[in-house]
Amino acid sequence: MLRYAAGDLEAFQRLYALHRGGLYRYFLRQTNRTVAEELFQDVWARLIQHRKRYRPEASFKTWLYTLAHNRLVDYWRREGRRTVNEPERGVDGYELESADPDPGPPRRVDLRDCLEQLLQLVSGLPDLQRQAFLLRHEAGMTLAQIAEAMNTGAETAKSRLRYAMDRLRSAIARECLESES
Amino acid sequence: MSEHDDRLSRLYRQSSQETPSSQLDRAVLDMARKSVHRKVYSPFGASWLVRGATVGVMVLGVLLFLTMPEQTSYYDVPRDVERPSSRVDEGLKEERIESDEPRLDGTTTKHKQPAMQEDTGLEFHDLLPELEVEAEIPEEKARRRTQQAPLANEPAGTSLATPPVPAAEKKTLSRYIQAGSFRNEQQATDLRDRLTALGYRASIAAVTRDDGAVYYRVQVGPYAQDADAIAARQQLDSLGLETRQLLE
Repeated sequence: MLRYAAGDLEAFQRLYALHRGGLYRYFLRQTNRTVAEELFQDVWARLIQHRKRYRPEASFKTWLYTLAHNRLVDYWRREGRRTVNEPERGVDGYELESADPDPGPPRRVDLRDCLEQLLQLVSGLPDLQRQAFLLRHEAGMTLAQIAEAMNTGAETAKSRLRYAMDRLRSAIARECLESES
Repeated sequence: MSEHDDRLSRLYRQSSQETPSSQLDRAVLDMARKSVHRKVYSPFGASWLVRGATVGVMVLGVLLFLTMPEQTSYYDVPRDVERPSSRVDEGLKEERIESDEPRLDGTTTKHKQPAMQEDTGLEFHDLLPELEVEAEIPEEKARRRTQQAPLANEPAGTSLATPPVPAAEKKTLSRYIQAGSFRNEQQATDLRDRLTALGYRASIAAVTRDDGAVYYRVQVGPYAQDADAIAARQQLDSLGLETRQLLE
């Protein structure tokens, strides 16, 4: 990033190639395609605009996804969504739906059905849990980096990620997790 | 991470394969390209094309200088050739005019231009005209007076020596610095992004007043310790921001 700030366009191209997919899907899972494209472009525009102010104290990835998180919160605020500002129950424990104690014998499931179901479940997660999940799985962030990007503490980030995983695991068809040896 | 979590992660990676369209890629890369080409002034930039162009301009400048010696010795250095050293040229031109121009009364009548100020790099100064100063809210003022008196009343240089806060209170309170407050959300967003680029944890809080007016407050923090909050506030002040400390 520092090289790009000094005028090295190739350095930007490498950064873009590395993060374009993850950032795009980060927005896509939380909005729709049109909005995802708008926010995706806007984040890169802001990054380009502020490139000379970048300080290497934070990693580039953390900075990029902090901008992305901020843009998403802005978008939700404009749309009148209030969920992100509500007190967070997840820190103290979400009421998870208990798994069926007797789910019966495993059925045969198609892999494509599992993949489709999982994407729908991710999109249906509570906002903050979904963000933690996406920062881990799309950006490949550590808990410390997730906490920084979401402007919260490490323990809170850990809780959000844990509750997201618990929800997905309990909601997805059992066969999807057991079909792989 | 359990075996099922691993399987879940693998499954997600299999399912999540979308990428931005080529149009979107082009739009972003074009933005980056334009910004670099517009902003590069360095004669020794990274690209060979820029270096070549710079050398070409310099050679052209030398040729123009050699072919027009009479003109350059008196007044106008060609104004259509803009070079990084234009400030030096200005100074030289002024020196030449002073030494060559006949003095009628033997006194010095020229007024030298004041020296240009060094670029401090503190780009937040250009935000200051856009910053809106909030009127003090009586309730908040009273609250801050009772809660933050030791911090707010300390002179900047000695504020680190604040009275000790009980350990339990230190752990529970979250300290935020307000870096600006705007009626215009876009201005707030811009300031927050600038602060983020500088490595601060900045966020926006929309606050609706009793009269219905919505203000977008740019906040930095939270800080667990007074000393951290005060240090951050001093840094932000030095950037030309009019800060306030909030306690939540």
